[in-house]
Amino acid sequence: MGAKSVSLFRPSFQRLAPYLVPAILIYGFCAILPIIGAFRYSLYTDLEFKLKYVGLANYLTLIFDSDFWLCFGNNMILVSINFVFQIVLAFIIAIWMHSKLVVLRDTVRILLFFPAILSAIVVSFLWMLIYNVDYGMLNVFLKAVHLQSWTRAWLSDPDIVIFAVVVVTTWQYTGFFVVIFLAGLTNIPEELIEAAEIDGASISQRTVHVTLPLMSGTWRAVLILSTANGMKLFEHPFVLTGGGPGLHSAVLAIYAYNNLFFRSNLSYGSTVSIGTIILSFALIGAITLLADRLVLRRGNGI
Amino acid sequence: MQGEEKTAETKNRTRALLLKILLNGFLMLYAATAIFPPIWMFYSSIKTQAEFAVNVFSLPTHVYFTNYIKIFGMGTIYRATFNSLFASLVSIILIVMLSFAVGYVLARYHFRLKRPIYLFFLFGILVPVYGLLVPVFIQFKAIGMLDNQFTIIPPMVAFGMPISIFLIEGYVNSIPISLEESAYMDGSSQLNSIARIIFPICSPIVATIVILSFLSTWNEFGFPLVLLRSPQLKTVPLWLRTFFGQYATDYTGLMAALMIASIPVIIAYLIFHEKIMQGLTAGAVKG
Repeated sequence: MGAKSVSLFRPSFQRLAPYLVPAILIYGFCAILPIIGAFRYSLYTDLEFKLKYVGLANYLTLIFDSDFWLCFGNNMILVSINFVFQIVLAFIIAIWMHSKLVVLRDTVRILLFFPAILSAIVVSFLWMLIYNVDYGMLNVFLKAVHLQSWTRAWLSDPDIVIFAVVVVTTWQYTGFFVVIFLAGLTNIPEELIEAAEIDGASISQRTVHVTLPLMSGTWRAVLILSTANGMKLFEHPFVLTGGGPGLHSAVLAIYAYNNLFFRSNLSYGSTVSIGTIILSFALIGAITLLADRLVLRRGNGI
Repeated sequence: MQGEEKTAETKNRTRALLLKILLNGFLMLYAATAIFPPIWMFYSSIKTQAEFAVNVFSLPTHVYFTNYIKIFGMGTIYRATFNSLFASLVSIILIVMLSFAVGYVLARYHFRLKRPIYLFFLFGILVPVYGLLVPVFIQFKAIGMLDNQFTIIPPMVAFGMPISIFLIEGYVNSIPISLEESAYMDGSSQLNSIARIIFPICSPIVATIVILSFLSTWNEFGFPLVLLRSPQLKTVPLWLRTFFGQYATDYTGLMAALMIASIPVIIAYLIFHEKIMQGLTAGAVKG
């Protein structure tokens, strides 16, 4: 934007307000105001339908609430496994798909991405049928290849249930991240890669020293997105297991939901929600900061 | 000497070929795992329950539409489809209009509140949306907004806007500002030049936003789940949940229900897959 445009287009906020205010109102009403309201509720207890101001006492309860941390632990399992598949593996697959060796690239891309457009509910119900003890594709397949001993009740075994949930989200979203990395790779100017190739850099050297730093923008976006997804997850465990058995597959959003709808505990449900939001932003902040320090500072981003 | 070079070259070529086969083989296998469960869902939905009980993998011997006929015969799906379409349609219109206005202003103007407004909407992308289920429920309950035809529209619009705003902003940034300047010189009002010049130029990104918003609103489950109670207000995902509760062991019927709930997004994907991927990647890379 040149100097000319600045003189022409520097209006007062009053003139811009009509464009901005409706969006800000709806968004503020649904995304900001509820958080303020929930914070207010979190300062009270509502046992026996009477609100009583207790200051930060609910947060003290939260800090010592092992169930809350169990759910947070499940979110962390999600975030870490997401990191392995949606970031590391998806990046490797994208590099492969970007190479000249691949045939039917567009078809493969369309197929990989497909699960991501389905509703989380449909996918979860579909996997519920796949995990079904008697008629599920998984157990039937294991029996067919004589791995009878591997079959189990995937969604009611406390030791593996959270991983059964992770398999579903990984199945649904890994292709999405492959496509994002692929878009990032396509944005890198061909000449830069060729120059490195002429200088005699091997594929792995090119990837580490040229491709990686040039994709810092994509990396940051993917890191943030994948972490945020791991923290907000609700639908898959809600449908597959309802968080059970016990709380073995419950995540923070489910814990907040249960506190409100099963225990009718408005103020503690609110406390859990606020805690979730704080932890989530702390985690996203820490991860971006760490990534910037360790890897991304070398690149100026595309 | 020459012979040695030749063997080295053939060796390299064999290695390249082997690599090519391995690579493509792996990618095909991965693509197959991504696509097989939905295909299984499709062909199981046209099998009979008895056929399914004998072998869950086998392809159907005949095409039975019985499962579909049964579901459409029950009638509850029509109301749910109407509710979903209504919510999607109203949300899409609002998302496009409101995001276009904000995205345009953010791209074209410099003002003091620009950065705060940018961060304000960025928050909506990063916040754990379903961490907000309880707060939104409490607020909607307090002001009596639960359980009516319009209840789920504000949250759908609110959480659909941020990515749309950033998509529009990025797109408008790529349009030369001289277009509006010359229109301004010719005496066109600002609103007029936005509506007549800029909006039409933005139609590709608007189309992307329409499709993405359709996918996300049609698929939305969390907010309808907590904000709606009445059976006649149920959207398709909620209908699906009820259906699964009632017919838990009618496996082929369940597959048909899953198909019915997915057909609109599958059709949208088959037609617009390029646009959908472009939009999501542009949004993500910007974020």
